[in-house]
Amino acid sequence: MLKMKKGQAVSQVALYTVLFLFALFCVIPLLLAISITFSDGDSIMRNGYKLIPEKWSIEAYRVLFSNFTGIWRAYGVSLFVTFFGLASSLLVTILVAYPLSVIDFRFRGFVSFFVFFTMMFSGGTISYYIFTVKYLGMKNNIWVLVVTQILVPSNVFLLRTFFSAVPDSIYESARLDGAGEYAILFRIAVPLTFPGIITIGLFIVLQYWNDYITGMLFIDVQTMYPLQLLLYKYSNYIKDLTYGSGSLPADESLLFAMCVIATVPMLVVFMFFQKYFVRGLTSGAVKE
Amino acid sequence: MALKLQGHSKLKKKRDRMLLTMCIPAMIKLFVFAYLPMIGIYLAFVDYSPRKGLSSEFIGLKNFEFFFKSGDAFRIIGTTIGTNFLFIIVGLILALSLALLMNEVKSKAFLKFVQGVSFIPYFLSWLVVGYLFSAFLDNYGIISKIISKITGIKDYSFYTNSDYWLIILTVANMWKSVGVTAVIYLANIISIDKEYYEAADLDGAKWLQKVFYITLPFLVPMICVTTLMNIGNIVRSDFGLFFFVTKNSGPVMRVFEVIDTYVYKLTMESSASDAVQRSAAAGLLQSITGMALVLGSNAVVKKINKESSLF
Repeated sequence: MLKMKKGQAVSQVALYTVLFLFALFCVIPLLLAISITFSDGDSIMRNGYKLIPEKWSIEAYRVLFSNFTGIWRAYGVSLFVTFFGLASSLLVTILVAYPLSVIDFRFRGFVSFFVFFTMMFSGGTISYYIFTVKYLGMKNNIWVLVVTQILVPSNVFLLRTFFSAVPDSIYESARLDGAGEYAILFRIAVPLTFPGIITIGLFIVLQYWNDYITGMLFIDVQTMYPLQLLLYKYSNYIKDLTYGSGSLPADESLLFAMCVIATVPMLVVFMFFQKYFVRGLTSGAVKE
Repeated sequence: MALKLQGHSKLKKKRDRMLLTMCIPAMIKLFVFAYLPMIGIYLAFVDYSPRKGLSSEFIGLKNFEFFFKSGDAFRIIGTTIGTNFLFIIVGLILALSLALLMNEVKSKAFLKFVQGVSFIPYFLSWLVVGYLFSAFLDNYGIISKIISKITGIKDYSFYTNSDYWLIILTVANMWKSVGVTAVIYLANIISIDKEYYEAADLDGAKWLQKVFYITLPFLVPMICVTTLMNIGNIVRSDFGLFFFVTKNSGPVMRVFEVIDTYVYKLTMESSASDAVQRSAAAGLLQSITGMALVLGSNAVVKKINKESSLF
């Protein structure tokens, strides 16, 4: 008996070690980046990046906060886009997901297919690009960042499963009481599926905040760059930044400081809503 | 319940009309940004000139012929399918192993810690991930410095050649998503009835035996479904992974160009006169094979487990 317990203890230690190493593997790139932002430029030039800065420096953040209005403007653009993106995309998703959860809705099959087909088949990047630029004239229009990203089909189908999980009898009795569908949706279905709605909302926020491709395709005016696009084109900026001022951080420190600043909001969102994320990701995948 | 409304066909009609109005915003959006651009598929069949647009000269399947004759096609399609295949297999093995390990953790706090940390990469954009990885791989990078020391090559950088990139891309892809996939598997493992394990314990079953005779068989339907869905997407790559993690550097991309990066570059960065039609042809090819594969794998999923099929 004793021997077995010892064996179990050893395997428990091994288990915790393996998982701890895995956790480390997941955060090390981020930790390294943070270390680089606090590293002195000369020591990077000499010895490369280190997990713990050889010589500490906060120059990167000082320069970013004092000299670099560009990044705060990009922050504003990203906030704007994420805010309106969340509002519009969430509303549109809720509106279409609910009818698809009503089993005997006459157009359910048709609408379902209409949404689903876009997941399978697309006209291709080039025609999407030409159509949006030439026919809609949306190049360098800030709303292109919002409008083109409204409605992700997989979000629709995920939210539909949340709506379907509400017992039908609740909807039916409201209907028999003469409630309209909009009232049922916003007074009954939405409050009852609130965790699901939050999950979808978080997916949407993440999608808008991290969207780089729309900016790469449609925005080339610097004042309209969202954060991700600014990061993509950072090398054009670094030169302006480092021109003619005294002691300077390494370009790399600046770049990684920008990465950190662009990432922090999503990590904060994640920390506060972790529960909803896990639930959203695992729901639908779990067999009841 | 539906029966009750059947007696009120007028009411049902009214209800359906209201429900349909709810679908309109979504349908308008999709119509404008997904369906209307499909007209542009036609560009794959013309000798495109910007002045003439859609009235450019029709040349049938010539563009596809060029695409295949150029030799690009087989290489790019091969890379796309090959890397995806590798990601599917490695991803499955890693995520399953992690989930099995997580399932053995007794301490709730520790499990929460590991899960929380393993989700972090999911929240970073590929663009940021690309930069983070460069801190290991470029000439100041931690791993490059080690290689420099071993081989004596001064300022070694991974971006100057295509060595190791199959490994790097796989690691980057796993790093970004394996935590989330593992938690999905874990959720399924947790939902297995505990009685099976208790019965097995009474029979003196070892951990590995329980894994192979209870847990894995229980997960088989889910594994099949996920894998088939992934196979359905085998002609589509993660643009961000191949574009940003490689830093789109020439030597790497010569080997690791995939359809999505190829199409993007033809659209945005190419000045070749036939870029538009080549991009359209490659995109259409991807769309059609992609759809065929999704439909095919869905049909197979339906046979295995009806509820898990997409439609």
